Amino acid sequence: MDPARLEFFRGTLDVLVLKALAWGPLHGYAITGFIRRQSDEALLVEEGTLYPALWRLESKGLLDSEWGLSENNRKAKFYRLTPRGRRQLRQETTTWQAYAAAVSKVLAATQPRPALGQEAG
Amino acid sequence: MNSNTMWRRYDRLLGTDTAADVRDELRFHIETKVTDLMKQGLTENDARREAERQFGNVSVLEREGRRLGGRTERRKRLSERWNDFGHDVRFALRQMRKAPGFTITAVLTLALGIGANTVIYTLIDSILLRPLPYARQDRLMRITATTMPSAPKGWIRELGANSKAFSSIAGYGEDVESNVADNDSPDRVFGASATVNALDTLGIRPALGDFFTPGDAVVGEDNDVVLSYGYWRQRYGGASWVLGHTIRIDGVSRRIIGVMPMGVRFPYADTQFLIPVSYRRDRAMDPWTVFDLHLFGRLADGVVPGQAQAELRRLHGILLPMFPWRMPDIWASDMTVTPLLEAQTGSMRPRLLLLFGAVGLILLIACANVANLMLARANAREREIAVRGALGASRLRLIQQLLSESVVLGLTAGIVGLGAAFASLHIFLRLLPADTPRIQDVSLHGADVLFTFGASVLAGILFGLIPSIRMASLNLLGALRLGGRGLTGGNAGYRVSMLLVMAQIGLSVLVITAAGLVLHSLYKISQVDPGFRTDHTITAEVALDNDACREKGRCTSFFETLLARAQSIPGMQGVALTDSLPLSGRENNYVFDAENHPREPRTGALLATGRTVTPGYFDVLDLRLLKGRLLTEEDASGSTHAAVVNQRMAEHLWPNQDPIGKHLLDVNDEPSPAVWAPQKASIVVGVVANAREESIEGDFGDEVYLPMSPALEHPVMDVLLRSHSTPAEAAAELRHTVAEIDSLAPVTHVRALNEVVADSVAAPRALAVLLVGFGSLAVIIGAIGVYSLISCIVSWRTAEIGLRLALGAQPWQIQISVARQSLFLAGAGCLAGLAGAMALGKVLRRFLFEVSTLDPVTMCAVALLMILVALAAAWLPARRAAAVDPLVALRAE
Repeated sequence: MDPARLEFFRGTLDVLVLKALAWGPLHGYAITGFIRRQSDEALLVEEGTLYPALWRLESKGLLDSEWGLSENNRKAKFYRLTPRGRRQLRQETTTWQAYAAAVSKVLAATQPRPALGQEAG
Repeated sequence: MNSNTMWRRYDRLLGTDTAADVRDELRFHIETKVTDLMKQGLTENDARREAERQFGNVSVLEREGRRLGGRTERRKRLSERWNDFGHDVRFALRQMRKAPGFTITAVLTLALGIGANTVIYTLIDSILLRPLPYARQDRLMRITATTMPSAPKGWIRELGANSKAFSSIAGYGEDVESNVADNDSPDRVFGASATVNALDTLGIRPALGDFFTPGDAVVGEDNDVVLSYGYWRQRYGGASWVLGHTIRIDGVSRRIIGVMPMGVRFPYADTQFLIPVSYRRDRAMDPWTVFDLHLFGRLADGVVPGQAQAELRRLHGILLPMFPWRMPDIWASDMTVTPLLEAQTGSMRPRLLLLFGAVGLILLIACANVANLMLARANAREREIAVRGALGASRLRLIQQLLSESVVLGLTAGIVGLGAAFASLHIFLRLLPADTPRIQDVSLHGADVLFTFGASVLAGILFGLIPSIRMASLNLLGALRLGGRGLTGGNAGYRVSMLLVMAQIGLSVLVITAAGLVLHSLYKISQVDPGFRTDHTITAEVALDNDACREKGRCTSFFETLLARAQSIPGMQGVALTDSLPLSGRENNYVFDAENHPREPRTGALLATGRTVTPGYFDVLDLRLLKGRLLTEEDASGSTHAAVVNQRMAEHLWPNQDPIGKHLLDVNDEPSPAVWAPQKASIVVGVVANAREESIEGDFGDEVYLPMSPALEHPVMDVLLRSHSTPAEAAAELRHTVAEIDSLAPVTHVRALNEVVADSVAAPRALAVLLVGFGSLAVIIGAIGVYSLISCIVSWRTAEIGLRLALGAQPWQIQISVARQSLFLAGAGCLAGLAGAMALGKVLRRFLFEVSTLDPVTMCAVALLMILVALAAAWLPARRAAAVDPLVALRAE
């Protein structure tokens, strides 16, 4: 399957960005790389959606940013989780995992389970 | 990460540029991508094209970036400000802990000022500002007229029926103490009559049962009573079975039909029950003959008081002919409409505002004091401030920091002051006269707490401003290098402190002068000779049921028996009865026509104060006979028609004539202007000297003394006893004597006559006590200000003093120079303060009695006091200065 066609569900990008920053500050380019590598090249983040997401998260106070020097000695903007961002990440991770488990259970179904009421009737 | 603070610095210095940030950030991304793609083997051109393709529309993205970036900036700035603020507060608290001496002095000084303000504001709020507990109470109006002390019920009914400006007009009677019995011995309880629409006009709902219905306005169906909430709780524990229960009020059985809501004290503070005003259907005269009601009404929607007043005055001419006789045109012609709240509390307004002014000045003095303390402390903190400045704190930031310190200090003092005000409020309430309106409702409310914190913050800014600006504009290098004297040692800092102390003294003088003037005028009042003897005399009220005199002669015989038996009490020197005690504020009008004074049909009859007395009255009070004779036992039969008048009335009515034998005709109960009927008139048999029986502060009034007789009897009389025994013994004897005659007649209001006189001037005395208290507070704070400044000056001058001593100056010379400085401060402040007091004199005029606002006695006393204060404040510093050891002082330098 073409990895670029894997669409992000609404809100998924935000939690992936937060996760990418869990180990320390990164700049935007590094975040795309992180997501691509961690998903075994399955998820490609488009720049046109990544940056607005970063800025939005920053404006909500979940991220903080600072200018610094990149590996190749260029001036780059590094993002870092704020304490609130870290809390948000924990919460979203739990929610997402529960959601994903539920969805896969449904999709893995081989036959419909009868409802309790119908069983009696 | 190779994070480098250099960028941050750069960022800070130029301020943030969101657009550039977004551009830089995106450019970095593209460049890095190009590099990576080239590493994968693409040519630079291909790589760049590929990177830009993936990016899509950059300008849209940049716009989005600027929008969100701006939002981030705003959030950051806000949180930074909060952080700064939190930091400032924590820093301020740390500073306060570091200098406990300064903190305690400053907080206590300010707390005194703030606490005094809280107390007075609480009084103002509770008495003058808080709405009365009635629905839309601002629409309720009192209707008064100087020519209409009270009105008959018919007048109220007609006004209400014809007025369009008022949606309803109601009336209430005097507060009368009655005997209330419920199968037990009677209580003396205050009650009043009210028209049946009165409680509905107020817009209140009963706490229990119902209020009066129109049916209650008919004699025979009016045996209902409404209780006050307090009386219901006190006597019946708030039980609901009281509805329908019957109690006897002055011998009349009345059914309890309802209870007024909590917090309503109507019409008087101590009224415990209301009975309806009712009409006799069978008598056409009935609505008009008794003038005993006061008027109030509720304005109709959209009507302003001025319109209502105009309408009333127009109705006056139309309705006056409804009286079944011809009323003088002047009666009620000046009906005036005043908001109910103002009518109840207006008399307190000037006094409370004066006190508010005084405590406001005290807070200012305290602020000046603390400002000076801070300036003095600036010396010690100079280095710290200089270091902070050197480390890059901007001037504005430093001022903000220092101001936060003073605001935190002010708020701390505010909390202490609030606690002190809460704890001492009841003491202040006891200092106020007992008849102060709404005094029962005074308590600390949320608004007062808010006021306190507002005042604290303002005070903090006020006293913090000068020191902060001075400290923040410190010369950094100079301060760091010199490590001392740079700031306050200089002449300029000195001068600001001196000005502040002078201002303090000036304001203290203002407060203490006001206090002195009021105190002097209280002294003048106390020196007024009332014109009658007040020593060794006790008074008490003895009351029969209010309708006891319906049976003619019953009251007279009861009181004559009492008089006869009381005279035989051992140690008794004189006994008398009167229906109204001198200076009790309960004078009865004597409305009369006098011989040689034919009445114009359009004007009212003459007015004097009438007292019903027994012959002993003149003897017990020692009223001197000037002409004729006094009343005797014979006159008590009523056959002689004798009356005694005072000198003023005699000269006033019959100048240069012999008043003896002249006639006075009581026209109070006459339904129409009386026909001159000498056979019914009283004959003047004697003239006594003037006495201040109505008011200590006012002029003499016209007085008529009439003998108690079956024709003139009252159910309630005041007993005057002059006796050798102690007041307690005399009172016990009196109670015993009364109980022997009628065990159900209560003896109440037992007081020494001296107390009655003192109580009559309770209001000016309370004002004087409070003002003198506040004045002393002001002077004490002012004195502390002088003392601390002089101490500071002495320690700054230690080296100079040491040098002078080394050069041969005598210690007393040093002492004099210190004292001179203190005297200079006090003198300059005192002059300014006295000038201010003279300028503000007219504010005080209404509070003064026979004392000019420029009263030289007070002014000199204040000046003298200030000189003493200055010398006392200089005493310790001067001794310390004289004891300076020249060697030590010079070495320290």
